[in-house]
Amino acid sequence: MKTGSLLPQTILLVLTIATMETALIWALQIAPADKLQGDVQRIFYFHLGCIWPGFVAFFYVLYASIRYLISRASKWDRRAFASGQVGLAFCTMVLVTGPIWAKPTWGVWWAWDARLTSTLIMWLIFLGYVMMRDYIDDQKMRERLSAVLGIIGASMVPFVYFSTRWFEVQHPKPVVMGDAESGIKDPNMVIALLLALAAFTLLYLFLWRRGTELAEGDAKLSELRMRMNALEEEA
Amino acid sequence: MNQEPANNLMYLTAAYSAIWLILAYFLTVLVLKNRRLARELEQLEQRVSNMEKNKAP
Amino acid sequence: MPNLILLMLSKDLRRELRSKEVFLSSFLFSLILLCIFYYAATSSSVAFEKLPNTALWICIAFSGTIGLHRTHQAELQNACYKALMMAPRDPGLLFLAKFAANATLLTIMSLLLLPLIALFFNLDLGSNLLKMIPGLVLGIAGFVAIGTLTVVISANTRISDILFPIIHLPLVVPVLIAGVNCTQKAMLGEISWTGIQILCVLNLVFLSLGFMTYAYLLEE
Repeated sequence: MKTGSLLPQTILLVLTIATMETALIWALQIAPADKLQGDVQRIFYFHLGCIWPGFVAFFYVLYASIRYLISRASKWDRRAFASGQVGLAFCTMVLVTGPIWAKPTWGVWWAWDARLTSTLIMWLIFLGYVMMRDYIDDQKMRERLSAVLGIIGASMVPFVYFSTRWFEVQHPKPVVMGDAESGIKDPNMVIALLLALAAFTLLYLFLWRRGTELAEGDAKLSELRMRMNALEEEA
Repeated sequence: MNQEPANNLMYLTAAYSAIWLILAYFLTVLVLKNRRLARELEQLEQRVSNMEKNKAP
Repeated sequence: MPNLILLMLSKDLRRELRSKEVFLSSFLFSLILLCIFYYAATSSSVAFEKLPNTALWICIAFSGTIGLHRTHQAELQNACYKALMMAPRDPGLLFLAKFAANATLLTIMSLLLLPLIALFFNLDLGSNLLKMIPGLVLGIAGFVAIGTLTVVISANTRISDILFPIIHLPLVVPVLIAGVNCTQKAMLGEISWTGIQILCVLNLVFLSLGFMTYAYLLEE
């Protein structure tokens, strides 16, 4: 949109694609296959890569929502919303790849494992956050209510995370193989994981920037509409 | 639970394609929205400036 | 401050006694849920007697959602929130008062439900009843604390009745997990201190969140 922001945008995009490419090569080719799980374990790199920016996205929602309530500047609302959307997309990726990994490893698509459960709940919380905005017409009201819901939702994330873990002892763990985390021993595995984390963080930044710009355009559009309506009434 | 390597690869492919599909969907929606927005903005800006011009004299 | 809370509490309780709205919508709904529960459990040959705790919390979650939504709608119709906002009080206190009223109603509802569950599930509550109280009350408090906030949020949308459970229920999952564990242990005659601690922390967080953000919700 603005020419001034085009150059850093392009740099970010190129950097994202390059890192993603390297991460893919490392995860699929260079890192050795897990001794127990075989090639399926390679899902894990990108699975974890998605969940990390997911968490970041939701904590950014918390931060930007607080900033909004303090400053009442619409830009913070747009930033929070864009972040929530990207976080939801990453969360979806985690939820889809999780069961695909679980099936060959645990033998079932879904187990009420703490990690899967907490991701599902997190996904639901932020689905509500993103959905709600479509159903409030008044702009100021929408911004204020989403900020409050963003704060409540994001501060709930750690509790969801911990409560599912605290009480997990009650269920028999369906883990047939060793824990996935214990599988990472080879340095190349670590590099693959770090590369995936970096790639998805860059991707988050890129998507979040785009989303914010889109929301800014939307705001500009409604402002123009209002001006036009005023002009029409005058005429 | 150790399955055939071929089967394992199938799951691997499925997982990675799922990631790209979701990402592609997200990007497509983003691009489409962006395009529509740019178009609408342009139209509206033109109309507003026309109206303001008419009003001026 | 206690004055205000007592005032609103007695107002809400009196209104409930007169209209029996929450009682009708929540309690009778729970009864029907229990019937469905019986048939769902027996038809899949699950030991029905092992499920009283499950039934209790499903009833609380569902009928609590309905009850919260109902009381809020009634307040909206009478423009009570407008009047409340004009009160020269800290909105945080209004939140606490509203929370106290809602929590009392839901606690009474669940206490009425307990004997029924004991009856239907051949449960010998006896001495375990007292052990159940902390988990039950704290769980309901946490559920209602978040609900008092989310109900205002969703009421301002175009589809409040649909959106309320969608945004409310995922947020109370930690409370439900801890509450279910507390009462389950209590039914076996134990007290889950971890569960009670977690519930206390959650209540503290929810209540302070509500205390701080309620003002933003009531603004116009």
